[in-house]
Amino acid sequence: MFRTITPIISVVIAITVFFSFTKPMFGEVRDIDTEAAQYEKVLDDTKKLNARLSALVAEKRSHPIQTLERIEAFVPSDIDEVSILADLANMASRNSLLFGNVSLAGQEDGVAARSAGETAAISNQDVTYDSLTHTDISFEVIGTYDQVKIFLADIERSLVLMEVTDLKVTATENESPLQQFAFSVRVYALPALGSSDK
Amino acid sequence: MADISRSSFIPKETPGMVPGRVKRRRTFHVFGFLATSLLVGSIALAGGVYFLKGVSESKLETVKKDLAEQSALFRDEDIAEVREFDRKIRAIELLVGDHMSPLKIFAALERDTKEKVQLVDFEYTYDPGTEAFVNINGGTKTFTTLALQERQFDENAILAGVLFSELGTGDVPSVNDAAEGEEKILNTNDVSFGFKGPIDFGDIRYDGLTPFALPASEFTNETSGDAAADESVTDETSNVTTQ
Repeated sequence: MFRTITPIISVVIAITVFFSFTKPMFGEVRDIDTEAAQYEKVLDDTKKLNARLSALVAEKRSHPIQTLERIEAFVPSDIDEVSILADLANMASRNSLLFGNVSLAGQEDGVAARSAGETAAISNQDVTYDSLTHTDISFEVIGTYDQVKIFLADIERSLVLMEVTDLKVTATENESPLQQFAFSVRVYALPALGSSDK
Repeated sequence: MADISRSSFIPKETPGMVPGRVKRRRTFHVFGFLATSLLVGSIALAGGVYFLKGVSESKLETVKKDLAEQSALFRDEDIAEVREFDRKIRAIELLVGDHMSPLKIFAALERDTKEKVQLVDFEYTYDPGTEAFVNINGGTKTFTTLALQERQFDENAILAGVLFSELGTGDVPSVNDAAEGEEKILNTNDVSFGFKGPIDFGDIRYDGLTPFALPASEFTNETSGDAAADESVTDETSNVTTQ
């Protein structure tokens, strides 16, 4: 009888140990391995991202400072209207032009009025005219045709990008070579991301 | 004395007597063996899984630690720096691609305007990325001259898309005919015309070159291209604002 009972007890214990301990623990091990695999994937991606970011930062900083300054001047973060007017006046002066009748028209409800949601939508890397703010500067110059051509060439090749959006001239009634030219130029800025409250 | 039979001191088997040494039969309890094996195996398996769990947890902790180290290397400032730089480059590409040179229109007019045609009004408008438009008013003496002028402009890549319109004759006021108080228009022509239309972007896109010679400059502004003239302007054809 003893010989019969002992194996039965052994089997019962074996089955109990398996279902109450081994099997649940095996499930835990599987879960841990799954979690570890996910972490490893994230780790791998993070390493790649860090390497790529380091490479991009190094590439950006490899440019000469002058180049970076020119880039900043070409498309600044905000428009310095006073500086631009001074530049225009200087250009006119260098070409012996009379410069005046200045008026400025800023962009209506530009970046400052954007809602947080719109700013988030714009925050992706695609840059369109909607991403830029601009100011239109209207002015008149008086001079000869040739002087104005040189002035116009200076505007076109200015480091601070000035886009001529309007140019008018009407022949004068007298025999003077001096003509009056009405200009409107547009200057742009690219506000930094997250500066919607400026 | 009679012989007395004696028992031998050596015991002798009596028939029917059970032998003193019994050979035992060996039996193998399969069920017991299996049960024991099962128990041992179950315990061993439990131990093995427990050990495996320890190894897995250790591995997980190691990966988490490595991830934390990599995350610490990650700087938001670097991302912002690279992102801003990329945005600026894209903005520059956009703006330079749409940067126009109205001087090219002037150069085309200088080159192809007939000497007997006068251009009185000139207006250039440009909506960046959308449309460039030119509107010119002028006058000449005869329709023949006007027809020749139209043919000349048709051969000009920049002005080919611009159309003559608003033709007028006879009642074009001259300075002497202007009534008192009315704006005096300097126009001694018999035929007036308008010349307006869109300009193709590709024809006047800024390319760093100026379409005429510039004097030596003391300018500090950047020159982005070769400033050597492609063409020079002669006074003979320069009629944009002359009388």
